[in-house]
Amino acid sequence: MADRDGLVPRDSVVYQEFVRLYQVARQLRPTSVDRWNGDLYAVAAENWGAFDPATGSIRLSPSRVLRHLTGSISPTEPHRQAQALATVLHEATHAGMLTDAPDEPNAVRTRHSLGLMEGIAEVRTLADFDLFTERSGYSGLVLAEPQYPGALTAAEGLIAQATGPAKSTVALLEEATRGPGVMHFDQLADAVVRNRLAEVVPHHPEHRRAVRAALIPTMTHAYWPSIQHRPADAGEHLANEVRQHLNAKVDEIRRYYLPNPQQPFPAEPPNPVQMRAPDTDVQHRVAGAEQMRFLAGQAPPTGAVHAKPALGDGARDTGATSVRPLTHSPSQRPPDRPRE
Amino acid sequence: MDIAKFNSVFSDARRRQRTEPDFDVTTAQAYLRELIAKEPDDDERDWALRMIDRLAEPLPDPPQRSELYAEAGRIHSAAFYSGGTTEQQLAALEAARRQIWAIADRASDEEEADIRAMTRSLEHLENGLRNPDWPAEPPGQSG
Repeated sequence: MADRDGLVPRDSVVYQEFVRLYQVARQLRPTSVDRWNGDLYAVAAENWGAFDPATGSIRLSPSRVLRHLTGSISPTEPHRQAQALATVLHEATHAGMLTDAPDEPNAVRTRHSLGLMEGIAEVRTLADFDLFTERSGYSGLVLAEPQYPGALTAAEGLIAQATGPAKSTVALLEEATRGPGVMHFDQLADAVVRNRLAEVVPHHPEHRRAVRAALIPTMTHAYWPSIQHRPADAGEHLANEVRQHLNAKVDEIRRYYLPNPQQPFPAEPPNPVQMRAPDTDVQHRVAGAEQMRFLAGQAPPTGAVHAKPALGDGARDTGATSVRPLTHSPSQRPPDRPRE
Repeated sequence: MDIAKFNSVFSDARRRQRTEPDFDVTTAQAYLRELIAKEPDDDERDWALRMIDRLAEPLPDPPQRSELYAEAGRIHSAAFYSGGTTEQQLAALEAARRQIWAIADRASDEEEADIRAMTRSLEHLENGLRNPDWPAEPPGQSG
């Protein structure tokens, strides 16, 4: 058991259990991207841990997470174990998608996306927790739904307002967990277009992109307020603000398209790429992650890093999946071994 | 069996079960059974059928939360929604994490982990603000 800071040995029982759980998480929501480089660190600070996009490694708390990865349900600490497994699911979600999409005009490369990325990861974690634990041998664990406004409730609120018959919650969550993170707002805006504006906006990529660009600020604007202090029920206030802004913009777009204009709806894209210099910083860091993978002796994950995100109306990733076999491939069922 | 498809539909049924008072579990079960109807009669299918049967079991009642949980939740929300400059937001997130961690130390065994878990997203936000995966926002920019 890794009980202090440092790289968790790949031949250790806890490492192999983490790999097994990571694989189950990816099996439940496969993506074409796997940014985890196979390095697992135990970090004994007052943290849960995180996927590190710069290096591709995953760092987890030995006391809060790793010691609970035993292969079977804990009779004495089920609540702690549930949150440990939730953390694995959460980190697997981050590692399974690209974060950035520098060439996408509708990429939201601001802290708004950081908040929404957390929300999507938490929504996914809560959604998949039952099957994740049932499938991986931790049957019976319960993950209590958070009862406070934050990442999860903000994302759930946006999803509820954007989805509908033409693009459902199921479809949106499948798409969102494929990433990239900076496109989550665009994915939500696409749901609004399909569910509420499909009959008025032409099926032309430029029109659709422009309309999504116009809708995005209605969600980012109120998602992350610029004022310093919010009441404790900020979540509800923000959801109402988003609803008002979104409804007003939808009405404006409808009015614009009534006379069948030739020009797309006027909107400034959140990431006007044609006006920006090449993003050398991000390229360097991606190259760094690739180097780490090379040093670790691993093949690059299929489709990761170099894969151009399949985005834009009508050209979205259809869910084609390719799960990279990991270095260690323990069986899907829990190993028959003594607990740590 | 298409585990991903099954998971998507199953998890959505669970979500609706939690959020929709008039959720029709029988219809959801029938749809899931139809989804796997053509699957070979093997362990995977048996497992899926067990999960479908389990949908009919009532969800556990939401836990009764203590004042400590509520206090930690308020701290989380204030930090999560805090605006200001990047530096101000980082300071708010870090302070909230420490406060919530201290509250969790005083909480019951049943709530301790759920309270502490309020810091998971705050920690990730901090990481993202410190080392953004895209060019940093201009200094002093507010959310």
